Amino acid sequence: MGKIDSRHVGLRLYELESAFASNLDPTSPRLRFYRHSRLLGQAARLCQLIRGQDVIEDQDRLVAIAAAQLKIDPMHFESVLEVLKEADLIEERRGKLYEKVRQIDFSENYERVGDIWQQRKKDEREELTVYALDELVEFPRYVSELDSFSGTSDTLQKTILEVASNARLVESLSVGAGEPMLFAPMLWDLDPKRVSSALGQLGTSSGLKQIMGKVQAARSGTELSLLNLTHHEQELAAKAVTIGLLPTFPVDSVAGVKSFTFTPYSGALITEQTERELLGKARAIVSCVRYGQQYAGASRIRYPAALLRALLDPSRNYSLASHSEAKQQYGQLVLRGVGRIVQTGSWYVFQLIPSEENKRAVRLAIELLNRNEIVEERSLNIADASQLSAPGAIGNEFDGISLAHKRKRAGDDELEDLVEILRRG
Amino acid sequence: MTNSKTSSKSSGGDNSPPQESPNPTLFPGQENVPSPASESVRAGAPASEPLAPEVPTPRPTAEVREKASLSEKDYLLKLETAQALCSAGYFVRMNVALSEPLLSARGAQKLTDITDVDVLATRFATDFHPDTVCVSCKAGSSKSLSPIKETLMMAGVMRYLKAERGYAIFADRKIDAHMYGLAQQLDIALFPLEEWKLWKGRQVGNQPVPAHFTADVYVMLKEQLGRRNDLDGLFGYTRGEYWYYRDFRNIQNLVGVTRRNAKSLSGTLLGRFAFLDLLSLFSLSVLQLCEFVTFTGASRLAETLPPYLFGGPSVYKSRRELLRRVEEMLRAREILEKDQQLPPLDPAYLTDLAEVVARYSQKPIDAIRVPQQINYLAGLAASEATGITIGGRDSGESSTTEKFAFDIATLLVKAARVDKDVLSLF
Repeated sequence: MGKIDSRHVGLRLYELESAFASNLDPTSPRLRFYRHSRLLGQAARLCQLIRGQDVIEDQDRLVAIAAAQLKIDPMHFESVLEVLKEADLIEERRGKLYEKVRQIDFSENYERVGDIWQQRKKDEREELTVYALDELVEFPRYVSELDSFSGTSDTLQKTILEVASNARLVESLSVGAGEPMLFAPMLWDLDPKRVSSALGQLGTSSGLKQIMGKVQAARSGTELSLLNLTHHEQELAAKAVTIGLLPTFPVDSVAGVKSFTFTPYSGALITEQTERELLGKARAIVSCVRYGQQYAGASRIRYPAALLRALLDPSRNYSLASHSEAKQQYGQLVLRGVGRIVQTGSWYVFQLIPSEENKRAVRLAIELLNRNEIVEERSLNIADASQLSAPGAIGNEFDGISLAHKRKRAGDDELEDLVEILRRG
Repeated sequence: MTNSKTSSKSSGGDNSPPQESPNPTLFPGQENVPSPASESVRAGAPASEPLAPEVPTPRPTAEVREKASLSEKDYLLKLETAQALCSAGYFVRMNVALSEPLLSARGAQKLTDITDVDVLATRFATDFHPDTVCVSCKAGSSKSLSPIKETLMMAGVMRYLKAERGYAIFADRKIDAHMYGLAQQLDIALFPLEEWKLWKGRQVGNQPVPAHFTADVYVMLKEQLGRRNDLDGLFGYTRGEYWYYRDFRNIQNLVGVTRRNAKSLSGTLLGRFAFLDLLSLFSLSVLQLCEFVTFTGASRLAETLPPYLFGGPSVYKSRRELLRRVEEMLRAREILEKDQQLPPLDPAYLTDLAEVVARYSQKPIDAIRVPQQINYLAGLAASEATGITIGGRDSGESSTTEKFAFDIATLLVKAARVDKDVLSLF
């Protein structure tokens, strides 16, 4: 098993922890093999959360936000901070935390965390998981094609794939007779060429043509609501979500849990895999705004792009107009470090924290709206949705995958048709 | 402001030293009360440092004071002016020499000064544009001291330093009425003693005064620094050479000077003061860079920063080309092996510098106070070095400003390979 680049390791740890935190019981016995990777993955996620804050005076508040937003157990929070100190991404001075997360070379943060992981004595299973994931992020493969698994026992492979599948970190798809093909859901974003070549791995038949046609139509300007799809089409869409083709973000607010689905990002504002967190932030912003547009109780948002542009306007102090529901509607963005809620009488104002990072996220959100890269607002109507979207969290892609799994899987032949559609696109 | 012909040690006035007292005042007849600026010096516990003060004496002796006043006649006038400007929120330096570099390496004695600025104060707008004030302090009464000549010289100095305002104080010299108007047209205010007192009162704000601008610490510090020959070159640089290059060159130069003096900076309290003194100038240069970045586009930072450090895109390009040719030549002569490469043209600290500039550009309100914060810490270091306790650790600046000062200090420590113990005051 050859060593992989520390930047890749850091990214994989970030994804691994995001998936584990979303989909696995933190006390699951199997997770005992992943202690180093989880801890370092949490550090990678926390460093993204605090990026641009400069000084953190209230550590207790950070513990609370990290617990709510990243599901970092407060009991282990100190250990996560220690990792960030070791990586020279924070420094404690006179009771305050100085944030030193790199802003120019974003990927260096992952590299530093990855370096620490490389130096630690790890369990074989966590090591293999990270290596296998790194291969799958490049390209879907059969189990037998994974270099990292070569020479390892079937039992070991089975254990690793079971944990990864349960965490929705890896999806296996039957593509005809023989062994299933493994996909990593984060494969699709940011690299359209990779999408088409990865999809090329699959054969063609019929089935998902209709749904992906509608997705494409939505991208060219037609509004798409998956609520209007047939039951069968909804199942197909759910399948697309599970393999990461349609990243989905649940939002819980005044009208209950709604989720918002996006097509893989193919714009020009970000191109680096290391900036996926920024994309996540932008999608969270769009989801919140769409929620306000579609489901707000008092007054609904009519011009979402104009609203986001207002957030970038220094003459408006980077603020939106006051609103009675702003506290609930944008509360999750506060937890993500995007903005703050300012009370004005009995109403609330959402104000962007005008860091370069947040301004980029808002610009990206505007691009997502303009390019129609959001395709769906839908009610989940599943019994445990509230559990997945507990107050205090906009879900991430892995939450969306988990929700989609509640639906019946689409047939593999139908998936193949999806490939065909995207090939033409 | 001092004319070179009379050397920087001469104040241009008479040679009688100011009256000595336990709490020195400027002139006979002046009320012996703490200046408003002095009052804003915060009380607090001294920082506990493992390093001992350079001398055990808690206060300067009369002999030391006399020595100080002999070498620098106007120092009390300058100090109180500096205090007033500090409390008004300026970053302040005293005795800035305008001279050719290199010759200034061993300090005032070897200067071929053009002139010097008694008190130089700068503060920055949120677009990082500097607002600079020059002050000339004359305590003497000699007839050779000419307000009009001083005014005209000062106007030139201000132009040289891009200062927008100047003040010339003549504590014991009559100023003819017609001179006020002439000076005003040159953006210079002429102050006799009483007018200066009123002006000083109006300047007083809420900002604390760094301890090295209080008389006791100033005198003791000067005395102690006089015994540190190893720091002569460094202070020669901060006094003169830095101000000769008032552009991109100061960043690379200052890192180089710091690196050459790295050993002298660690291990002693005076060394720590010297580091902070250098750092305060480094912060001025970084804010100057921030102004450039603000005007050329913060989003283009990664592409504009490297050329800036070399004086612009064309120079940068020619340097790279030169490096390439040198490498080619060395390879041709087999001095450079196949697997060897010349170090890159960009300095190793470039990425760290870009990070600092990016942060500063995002939060200019906090960034523009960094020089003042560092100056305050330099005062603390001076206070510790002299054993005279003045001021607590709290400068009153925002947490972000404190952090930004730490960021730039870390950058300089890393770039110049200085021992990290110099960061203990942050």
